[in-house]
Amino acid sequence: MPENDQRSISFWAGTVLVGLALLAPFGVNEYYQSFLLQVFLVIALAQAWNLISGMTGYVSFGHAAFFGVGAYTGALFLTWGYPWWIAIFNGAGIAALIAVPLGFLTLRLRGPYFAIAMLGLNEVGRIVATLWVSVTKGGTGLPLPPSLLPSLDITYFMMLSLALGATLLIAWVHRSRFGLELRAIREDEEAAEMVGVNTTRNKVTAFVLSALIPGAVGAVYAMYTSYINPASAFDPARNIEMIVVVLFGGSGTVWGPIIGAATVMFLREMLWAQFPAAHLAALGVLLLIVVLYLPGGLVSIVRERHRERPDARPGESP
Amino acid sequence: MTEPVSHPDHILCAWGIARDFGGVHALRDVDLHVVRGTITGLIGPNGSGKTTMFQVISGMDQGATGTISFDDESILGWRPSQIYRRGLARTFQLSRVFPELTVLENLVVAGSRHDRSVEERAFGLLERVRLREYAKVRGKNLSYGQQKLVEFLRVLMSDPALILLDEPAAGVNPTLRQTLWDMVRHLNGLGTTFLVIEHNMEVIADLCSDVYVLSEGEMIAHGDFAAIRNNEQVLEAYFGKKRKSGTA
Amino acid sequence: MELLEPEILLQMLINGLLAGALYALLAGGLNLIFGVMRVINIAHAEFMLIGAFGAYVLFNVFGLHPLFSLLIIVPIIFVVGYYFQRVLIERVVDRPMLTSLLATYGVSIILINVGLLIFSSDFKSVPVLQGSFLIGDLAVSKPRAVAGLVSLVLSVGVYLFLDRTRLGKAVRAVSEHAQVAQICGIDVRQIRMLTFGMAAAMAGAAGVMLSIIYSFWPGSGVDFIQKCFAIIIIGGMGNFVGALYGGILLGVVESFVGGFISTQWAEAVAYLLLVTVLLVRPTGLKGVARA
Repeated sequence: MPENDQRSISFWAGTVLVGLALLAPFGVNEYYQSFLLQVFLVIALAQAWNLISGMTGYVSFGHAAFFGVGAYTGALFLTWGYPWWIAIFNGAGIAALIAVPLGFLTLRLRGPYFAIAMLGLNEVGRIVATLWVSVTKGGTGLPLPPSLLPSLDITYFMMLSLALGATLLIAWVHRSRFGLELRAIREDEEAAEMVGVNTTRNKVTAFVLSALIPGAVGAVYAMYTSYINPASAFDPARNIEMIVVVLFGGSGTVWGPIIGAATVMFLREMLWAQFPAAHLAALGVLLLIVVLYLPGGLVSIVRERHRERPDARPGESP
Repeated sequence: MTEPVSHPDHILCAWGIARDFGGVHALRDVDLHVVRGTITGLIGPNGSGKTTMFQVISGMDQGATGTISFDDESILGWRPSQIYRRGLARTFQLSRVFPELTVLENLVVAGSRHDRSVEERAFGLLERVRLREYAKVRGKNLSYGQQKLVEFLRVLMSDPALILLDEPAAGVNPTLRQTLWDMVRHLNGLGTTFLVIEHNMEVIADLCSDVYVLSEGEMIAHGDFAAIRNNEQVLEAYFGKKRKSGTA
Repeated sequence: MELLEPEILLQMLINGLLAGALYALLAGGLNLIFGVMRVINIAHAEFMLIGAFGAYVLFNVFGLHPLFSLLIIVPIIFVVGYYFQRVLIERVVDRPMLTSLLATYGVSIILINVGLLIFSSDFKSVPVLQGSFLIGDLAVSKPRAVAGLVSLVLSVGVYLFLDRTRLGKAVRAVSEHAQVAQICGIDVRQIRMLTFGMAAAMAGAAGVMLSIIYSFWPGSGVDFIQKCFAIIIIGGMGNFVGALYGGILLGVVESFVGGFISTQWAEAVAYLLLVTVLLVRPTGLKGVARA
């Protein structure tokens, strides 16, 4: 399939999906609207993780921490009387602000060492939220009075915009010079630096962008649930979902996280209500399957069929 | 010892370069000057410190002391990417093509960020070595020789003034090897300066007007090839100590 | 400051040493795996919890004392680890380190959540020992003393095995240079399985010992794996003896921080140490030949 055809299929499929998502609130009941909202939440988080881990190759085991930071920041700004959009803006901003020094420090570590350093980050966030009682009210959590909250429709559209924005960002990065440099870093960081790619600046930029999105998503999540506490804001399950969604769908791709999110949310819907642990165990199994048998994720199954086109690899001349 | 004054003819001047790896002296007080417009050779037995010298000059190895100036600017301590953008490029001994990127992407990523015609430039280079039809092929699907060639083309994307080549022909078949050396000569004719690590002495004799010899981290000789090949110290470094004692 | 009285300092030191011996046993296993196959086993602490829950079940169902369950649990976990290596880790051992990291992460998620399905998220404990040994003015808690000493004995046992026996030397040979070992006629695959079995058994034994000192739930592994990473990075990745020293060091530091500052900070010590060491020596970590 020629590249242009693929691109236009992507474009039309995307347009139809967004159209349906925009119309959904007028056609479905609140339960399904809520469900869709959570799908968007997972898509947005997954795309954020995709940027640093899928495209740049720095696997983060602690990215849910930025979601937690955004959730707390958003909730606090709401309780201080600021309008919801300022709360979201600040959620994203504070998460990004934390990511700047953190990125400079941890991205000096290569591959597995970066992963190890990030492994505890979400846990650190949870501990800080629990101990910093004067601001976070500790384990009691922060209830948000309904009078301060935007309606479910607004929350829904905010989450949809974030999912869409994150996806478009990934699509743009994919085709941009910046994305090319990130992929070069993923392939061979030293060689990338050697051909003029400022690897530090690129990595930190990708990291900060990938923290900013969960920050905003966290703030919207706080408005959606109207109550957060350390356990819900820094839920380790969210970390796991982010990783499995991307790897299962296809890391480093635009559609992978969307397909992965749909699959994982379907699983969650089937299992979560009765057995949250079973849902997570199933995610663990998915992760193993992907790592062992499907390194490119679901997207690669479709793509492999079209990859080695006759004109893509001429016979090697001796 | 040479005084650290830069000479207008020198595009690269390195003075008193020293590099220790936990007590092992990989480089000891090494001086090296590359004259603008030449192809300069850097030779020496295995483990003499040639690649370490490249690592230091290109900014990859940040642990060395001494001074390095490139085009009258001190570059020691710069990031490798900065050095590259300034006009000093290098290739690796073993191919470091980006395996999952296409040949075209491999070249484009090394080109200027602000150059609108960067793809045209890449196609032009590929055309020259008859690799244009491989533009959409991933790096990992090339033969090893082709990979080395692509890696060489890659550094040409930024139109560097000085290129360090680390055994560019190793593992490359004779046809591609010829293409490669022809290209080096052609570019040199257009004004690009080269510093080349190479084991094949015929190539060195053929290409290099100026040759440096490293042995055990020290620069033991410098001159044209004829002078180098008759230098006692060089022969000793390559063939062992027997000549000196005269017994063995 | 009454904290500075010698008895109290000595008390903290002893508590730290005993806790450290447990960490050493656990981290020693993790480092053995890393040394032999360059695999970072994120699920290592879950193997420990298998030991802890094993002791819990044997105690509650058969009334078996954990010191006896040790004799049952350790061989079983050895076999589990041996086949775990054969079925799963062998498939990823030659792939990039991140692949095995993700695979063991998947295993860790599965084990934690299966544990939650079986045991729920309530804290469990095996309260077999109470009270303290009194030595002069010092009071050393009995469970801590037993757990610490047993862990120490087991760690030393493994060390002697690696140091003195032919098989142990083969393990070290593979750890230092797998290819050379292969050429010398060592069955590297076999050694890897043995190593994983042994490391899992060490984790399991640490779990049994843990069950008599702390209360635990299926999610307890996170704290411990974090500590293990700190320990092996301090002690040198892949260096078995380094892990033993690192474990004891962490135990002592935690004990003093807990005594002088607060126990919550003591929990953070490992993470802070880990991040600091990684940042100070991002590339030059001892024992890491190739990342």
